[in-house]
Amino acid sequence: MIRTDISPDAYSLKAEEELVKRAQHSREAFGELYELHYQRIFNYAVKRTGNVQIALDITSVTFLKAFSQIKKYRWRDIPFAAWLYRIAGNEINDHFRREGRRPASIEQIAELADTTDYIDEINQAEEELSRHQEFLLLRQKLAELPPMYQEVIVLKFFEKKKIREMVKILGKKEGTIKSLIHRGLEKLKEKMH
Amino acid sequence: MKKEELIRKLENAALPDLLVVSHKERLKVLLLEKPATRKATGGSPVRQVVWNLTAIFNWLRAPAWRAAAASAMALFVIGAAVAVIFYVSTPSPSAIAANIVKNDPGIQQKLGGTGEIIIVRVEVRNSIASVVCGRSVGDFIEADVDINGRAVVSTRRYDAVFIPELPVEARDSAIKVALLDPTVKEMVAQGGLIGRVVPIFSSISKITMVNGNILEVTPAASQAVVPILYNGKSWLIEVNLEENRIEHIIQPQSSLSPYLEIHYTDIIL
Repeated sequence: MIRTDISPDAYSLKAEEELVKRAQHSREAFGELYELHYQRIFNYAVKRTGNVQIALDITSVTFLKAFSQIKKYRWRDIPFAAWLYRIAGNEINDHFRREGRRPASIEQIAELADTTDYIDEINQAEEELSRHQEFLLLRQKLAELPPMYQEVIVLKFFEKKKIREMVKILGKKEGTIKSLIHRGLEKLKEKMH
Repeated sequence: MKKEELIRKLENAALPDLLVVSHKERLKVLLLEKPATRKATGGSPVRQVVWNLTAIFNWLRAPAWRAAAASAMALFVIGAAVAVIFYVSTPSPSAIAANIVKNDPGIQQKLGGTGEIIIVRVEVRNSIASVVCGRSVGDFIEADVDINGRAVVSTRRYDAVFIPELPVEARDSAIKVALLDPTVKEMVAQGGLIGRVVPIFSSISKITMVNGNILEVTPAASQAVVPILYNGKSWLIEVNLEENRIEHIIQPQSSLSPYLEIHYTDIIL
């Protein structure tokens, strides 16, 4: 049975390892992982892109990729969310490179490409987002920086990730991340003038 | 604006959780209840062809069609044989794209240096190929190639390249060998900075595409590059760690590209 009432923190790393291993053979277990992580990945995509529709596409592609690659996933004592963040981050960087075009994999999946059934829900979320002008202004300035700076600043300040968590998500050294944050903030400061 | 003020703004720019319930449910159904998902997202062209042929064979098994099927099948087999011969004798779009990139003067110039251009990855969509390439040291470039027009139409550099650390002993040994060269020794004596020493990758190394604009490289361990930042320019000293000698000294790179920049995030000396 799929449990939907569990917060990510309730899982110890060991329990998560077991769940991931089950998810490699069971759709139901993957469903549990999906329930645990959908919201945070979607929120991360919203914070990186500032656009609900794009964030939905990125969330879809992230989970489609995770689902198709889960059998090859090797547990390394790193929270599963770090892997999802990394897939989502790569998709977002790809999105900026594609200059707004939708991911090809979304266009292939009619069920996801067609959002007419729930366009009202999307509009409602966009409206909610538009109420946070200060966030949108910061994100707009942030979007002018190269993606590698956007990534570390969003993770640190919007997602409230600690440096050691960012090491796991980005696969970079602590010193490199600190250096990227420092340079990113300097660049953002210039843009804010 | 002061940095502290910016940090405060960033920390306070809270955004509530947004949710589009219908999307969440639809994606979950697609992931967990439809086997076709895998075909839509990950089916290789060969697998698609096999799948299509299987469907045709199943259709032909119907008794009413058996008589006509024999001749149709014969024609099909002949056609398929001709197609296979044509396919085998014609270079694949990937090979064409790789060849165009390898011989493109603009790419040669952008990569700088000399030596063979290594093709890391080729992806073909419609008639446009995305080709990732580089040399044994230096930047990686992604080029879009118009296969029909036989030309490189655009190029991009990577934002980040991840290369594993060298063991400390190998790093120290590489620096020691680099400093044997009088020019290198003089540059360091004059205030040149030695950056992060990294192993060189080569065509026999395993190169993994992470995604998008980031590359992770697993290199061969027998060679390393010692970067020296001197007078705002970057010199790259290629060292053979097995024979303890300098292989090449690559002339100063004019600017600090993202690839070179990572060498100087951890200045050693």
